[in-house]
Amino acid sequence: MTKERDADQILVQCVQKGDKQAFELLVLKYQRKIIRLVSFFVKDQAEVEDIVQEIFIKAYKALASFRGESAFYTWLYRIGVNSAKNHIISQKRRMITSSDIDAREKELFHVPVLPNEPVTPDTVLASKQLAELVNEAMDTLPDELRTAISLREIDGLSYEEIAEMMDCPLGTVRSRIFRAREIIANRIRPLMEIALDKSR
Amino acid sequence: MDLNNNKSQIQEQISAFMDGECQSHETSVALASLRQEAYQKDWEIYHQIGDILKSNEMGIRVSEDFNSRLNARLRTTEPDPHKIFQFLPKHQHLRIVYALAAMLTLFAILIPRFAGNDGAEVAAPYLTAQFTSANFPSHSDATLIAAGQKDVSTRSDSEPDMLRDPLIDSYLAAHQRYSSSMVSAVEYETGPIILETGKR
Repeated sequence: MTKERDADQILVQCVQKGDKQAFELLVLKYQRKIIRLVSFFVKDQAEVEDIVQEIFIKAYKALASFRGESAFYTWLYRIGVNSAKNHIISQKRRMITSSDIDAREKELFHVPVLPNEPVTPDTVLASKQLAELVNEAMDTLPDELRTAISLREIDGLSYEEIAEMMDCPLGTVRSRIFRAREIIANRIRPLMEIALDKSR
Repeated sequence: MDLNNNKSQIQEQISAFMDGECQSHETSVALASLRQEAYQKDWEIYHQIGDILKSNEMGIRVSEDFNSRLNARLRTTEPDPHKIFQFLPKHQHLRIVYALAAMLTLFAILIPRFAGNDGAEVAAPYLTAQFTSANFPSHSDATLIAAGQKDVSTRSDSEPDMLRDPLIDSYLAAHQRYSSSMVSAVEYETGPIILETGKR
């Protein structure tokens, strides 16, 4: 876990030296987590994305003052929570009205509303498909690849710890994790390409 | 073939970099590679796989123009070296000040009323009224009196003793003493409440 923080720290330092592309990598890494976070507060997907954009812009502007005392994601998360709350306060009147409507709809149609679910059926379907594909691809992986990536991604172990557990050299762990990622990535790339074409 | 090998090698470096497991000499290579769009896609997909493996709800899809819009904004945004992110919303400071002022005002009004002997005189009838209205079984009126009211006794010898677990008294006393209600605070100031049975 600490080593993953190191990667963030390297990227943050690059940004602080003026490398904007390094910040784009941090965006690519954390955008889903921040979208999910904001989705807890705001239901409208387009609105969520606008807020998330503001969060990243705020973070970029303030990154010069980030000293690395906490993890970058902790810092970003706090900006996210505050921005989402401020958005709700500024939109309070509208939010109250819409939540009233939601409550009435729930009463009338008994439809459970999940606050953290993306709104449109397309995005829900795509998200579920993506998750299913990843899980299916995991099941088809050879044991040693599945174990290596599970220990890394789910248990958060370092390569050294995984090497010790799997009784193999460090380089083998690195290679297994990469191969597992590539096999899974090859399964989900087509779906991602279709989604991209649709949005264009 | 060499190109493919080279690509795989770079992808493996990116995979290791995102885990914070790159050799120091590889970090700059990985960072340089990540300036290319194709490798940025790999970076994004590898992170998405990790997110989904941690939670199925992380199959979140981001609209295609999200990153292009954000990157366009980033290009025109400059970091602000003096900006330190304020985690409290602006009006939150005012709320804290108002709350403190309200508390101080409340204390300023209440403390003189309940302090000293006068306080006991004020508090005792209030306590009596509170407890007599609580509908204790078989002793609905004047079952409890405050110690401050030395000359008030409502018990007559002809009345039967209340049948109850003796532990109840100590429990009630402790409850009164440590309850955070205003009544208990007053009672604590004016002495313990004496139950009619006189067992305390």
